Amino acid sequence: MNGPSFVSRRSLTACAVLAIGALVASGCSSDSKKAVVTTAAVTTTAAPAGVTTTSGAPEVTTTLAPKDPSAIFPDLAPPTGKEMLIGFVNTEGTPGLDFPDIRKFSVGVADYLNKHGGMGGRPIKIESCVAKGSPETSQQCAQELIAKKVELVLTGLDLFPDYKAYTAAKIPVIGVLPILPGDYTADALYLTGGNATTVGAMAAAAKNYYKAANVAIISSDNAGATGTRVALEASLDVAGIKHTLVTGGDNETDAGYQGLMRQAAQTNPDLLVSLYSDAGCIGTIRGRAALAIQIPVLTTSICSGKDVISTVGDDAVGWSFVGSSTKKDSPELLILQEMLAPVLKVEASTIDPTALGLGALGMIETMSLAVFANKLAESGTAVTGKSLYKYLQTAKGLHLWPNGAEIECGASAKYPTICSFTFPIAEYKAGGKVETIPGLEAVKTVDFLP
Amino acid sequence: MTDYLFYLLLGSGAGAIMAAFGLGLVLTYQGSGVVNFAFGGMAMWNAYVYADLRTGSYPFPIPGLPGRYHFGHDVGFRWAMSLSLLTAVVVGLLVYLLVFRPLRNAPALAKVVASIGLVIVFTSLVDRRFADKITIRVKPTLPRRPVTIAKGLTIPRDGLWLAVIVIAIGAVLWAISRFTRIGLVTRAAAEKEKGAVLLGFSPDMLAGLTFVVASLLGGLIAILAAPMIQLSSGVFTFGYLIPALGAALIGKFRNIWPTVITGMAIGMVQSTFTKLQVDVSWFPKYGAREGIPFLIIIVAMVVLGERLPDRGAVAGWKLPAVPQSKVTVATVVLPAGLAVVGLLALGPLWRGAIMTSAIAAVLALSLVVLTGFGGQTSLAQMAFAGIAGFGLSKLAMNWDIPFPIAPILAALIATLFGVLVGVPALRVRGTNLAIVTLSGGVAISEFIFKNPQYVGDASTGGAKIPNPKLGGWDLGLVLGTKSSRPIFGIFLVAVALVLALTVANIRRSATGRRMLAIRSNERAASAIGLDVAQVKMLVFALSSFIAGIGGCLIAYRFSTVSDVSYGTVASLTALAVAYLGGITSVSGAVTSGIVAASGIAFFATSRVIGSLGAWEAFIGGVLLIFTAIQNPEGIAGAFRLQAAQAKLKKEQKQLKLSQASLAETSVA
Repeated sequence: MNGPSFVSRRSLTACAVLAIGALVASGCSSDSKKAVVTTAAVTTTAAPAGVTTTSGAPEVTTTLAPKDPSAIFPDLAPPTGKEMLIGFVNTEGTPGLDFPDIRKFSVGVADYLNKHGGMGGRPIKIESCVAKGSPETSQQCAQELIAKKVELVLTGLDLFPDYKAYTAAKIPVIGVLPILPGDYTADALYLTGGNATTVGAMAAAAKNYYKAANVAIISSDNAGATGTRVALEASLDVAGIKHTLVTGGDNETDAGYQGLMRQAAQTNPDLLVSLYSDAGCIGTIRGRAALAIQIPVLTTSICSGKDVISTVGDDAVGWSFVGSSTKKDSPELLILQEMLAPVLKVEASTIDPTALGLGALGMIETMSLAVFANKLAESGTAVTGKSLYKYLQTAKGLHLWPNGAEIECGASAKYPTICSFTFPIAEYKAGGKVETIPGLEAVKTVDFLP
Repeated sequence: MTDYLFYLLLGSGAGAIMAAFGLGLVLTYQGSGVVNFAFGGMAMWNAYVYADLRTGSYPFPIPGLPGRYHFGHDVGFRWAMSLSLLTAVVVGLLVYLLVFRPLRNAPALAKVVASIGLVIVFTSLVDRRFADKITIRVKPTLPRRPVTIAKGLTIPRDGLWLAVIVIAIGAVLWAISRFTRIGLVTRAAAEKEKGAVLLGFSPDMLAGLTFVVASLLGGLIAILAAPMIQLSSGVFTFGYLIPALGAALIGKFRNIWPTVITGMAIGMVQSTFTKLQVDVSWFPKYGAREGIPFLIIIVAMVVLGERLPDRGAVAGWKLPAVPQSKVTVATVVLPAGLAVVGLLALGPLWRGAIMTSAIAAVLALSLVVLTGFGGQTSLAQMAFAGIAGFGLSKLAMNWDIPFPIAPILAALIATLFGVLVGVPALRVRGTNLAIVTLSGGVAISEFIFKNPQYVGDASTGGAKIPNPKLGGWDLGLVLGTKSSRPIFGIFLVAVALVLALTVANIRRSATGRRMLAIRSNERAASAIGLDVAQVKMLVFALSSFIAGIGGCLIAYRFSTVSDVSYGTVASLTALAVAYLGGITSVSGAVTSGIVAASGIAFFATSRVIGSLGAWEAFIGGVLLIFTAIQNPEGIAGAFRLQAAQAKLKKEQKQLKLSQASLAETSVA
């Protein structure tokens, strides 16, 4: 019975782009530790040890060389184990709630993995189900996937996952981004922390980096933003920072954003925190510059997107972005480009990892799980939906693909579903560059969660 | 003081958009009697066309055609503006000729439903044609350089320019309305179409003309305003349209200047909230921006109600006939029995569809009582359902109130809100009431559904709902390892059946007859001693109670409640679905349940022909419009008509046969 919701898309998009910014930008930016893979490092042979499948299918041992697991895929042979049936629920086709790229990217990743190692040696079949942004269709998807006996359910953007049904059917659920409050305490795991961890990073940076005693928050008053703002206030309370609030509407003009910035600055805070996204990024950045406000501003990585930066230019000096980091080339970038070229139907080299839109969520989720599955296989455990879920709950030292935050599922007792708690923070430098702030490469949020 | 002036002037741009949209709504209404809820959607499409032209292409709105024609370069301001405005003309004309002209003599509610279909069509068009980049920042058109009016009063110029343009357009429209023949005729037609005919003008032509002019106005303002905001599929569709409806309402859907002034005022006053929220300690923490203007509109309408000249006649809010209520085995036992058999025999997907249909039927029943029997209108039914859903969560989770007391109490809370929103019905009717209730729904969403204290947040896990339990009997959908228990579906069907029988009995009772009397003619009903106010309040109370029960059923089904389920658009969709099924009868409500999104018919269709893919929402919108045109009295009404015609044919045939045999006998 639910119609399309035009408000929810805004908060959904905000959450999602935040995750993408946090993951893709930082992932493809690792200056790191990794070398470009040049030699085959994997052998796939039928052998008694190694990956054990759950059925009588041929057993496969995938011997992984001690290389960076996130860059190893080009060298992996096609998987030969028992096919792994994975359900994928995503919201599409409803005006305002239409994110087909998430599913397409995930399926594209599956196609790639089926040529390069699969899920810990098992080929993948993605059984997609489209939810239409209503609880009814999400529930229908749950029933459909349960009936098809999938062994794992991944959610792209699903507003109303039917956790109870999945739990009853003993099918583990792994999502990429919690959206609604219920997601934080559900019987599921989320690879990123959504709003809760973002605001924790903001409070951590406000206290430890900006040494702020007073913060002014600028936020929209829609339901999604209100939830985030309440969480931010709680995080600032945890950090012992005083805060004031200025709320604006969902559909402000640029002039309206200017008014918000002026009002926020009038309380003379040490730091401004803007929770606006989309048009709000441009409006608030321009508004601050027009009023010549010098107080630094912390916001989300949504506002460091290429479109925003190219529109506002040096007006963004003084702005920092949670979830953004310096963009550099890395081996993962080549994988990403090869993987997504058939999906986007463009030349691989033209794919910009920071301009993937919401589709990147599907890629991050599926590729990260493939990395984890390979590690699980390495440990000699059979890769199944349940074992992968269990492994994710307890494993240490895993990172989101490509080179994102460390996985620490359950590190916060209050948010048992969340699996990652660190963010990089970058700042705008005159001339159009966004660069990681030294010392804020991985801001820990656990101690500042609301 | 300078500070407040600063914020007032900052709001001039937003106010200008609201005022212009209000003008467009007034124009359309004056010429055609249609309150076009799709006005913002039409304007949005034109703004997207302009934005696309500035990047070198023109989007085609028809599925199957190539997505766009590529010019290869920015066509420049003049060409982009000209082509976009031409598009606005074509869109206005087509919308009138293909949608509202065929509905000229249909009930006003059919027009509301068609305009909701149009909203879906335009929004899904944008979603499809701009799938890769739905949020667009358009290059500036109006001068942006800040202007210093006084010390400390420097503001961007573009908002002021837009305000001046809208005021100028308002002045031109006012002058045309007052001093030209076409203006006189349009005003005459708005009062009575025959007046226009006598003056030698075709009402059809006038209606088409006003649709075109309004579309042109909306398109122009959306294009000029686009650089100040960021284009997205919702921003014009509802973001600015709902305040514009309020402005048009204050302008009584015919006065230019009150509409312009109210629209401007809403935008400017909203802007001052930025300062007020800091200066005034008691300023509401949640929902003030969108909520307060609507509370003012509701209060204003209650106060102004008696002075509205079109009282009781606005839009000729004609409603379909109310059939007799027959409770028979075929109408009650059969559908309920089939539903139960389906729940027990079919798989979980079919079971889910039956559950959706049962809940949708309950929500439609609430509209049958309100609109079908009571002749009142509410565009806030889902808000009442939401109140009950969140109330149930509080009652059951925080205070451990057991089933069935908790859902009944929750529905009673919804009833209170229903009565509150219904108070304006004592003073306003028809289209005006529809918009006032829409405002009421928005106010509820803003003040309650945004407040984490009521709806929960991340730290509370949202608003959770326990399984319904009667004694030791768990009626929940999921229990243990069972993920889709038929017992929950049977529970839903039982509740729907009880409510359907109750509504059918109301129709046959003295109370129902009183409702119908007031629906037919309030003054006549009052003259024979009926307490019109009391009956109207009863109608709102009953309707919101049933909607509240529907909200509780939704909550029980999903074990959690979210504001997303109960928004303004959900209310409009609920009305559209109820209307399609047939809003004047219990059988219509059942039909609504069957045809509701994700209901039995929907599910069966998807099984037979599969998903319609990316264009599904667009096709759904087109079908909604088509059905509103073809069956203005709903699907159940069409079936009734068919059945009546078949019966008549049969009787005529029998009569002919008996006449023939009589003739044969007499010849013999």
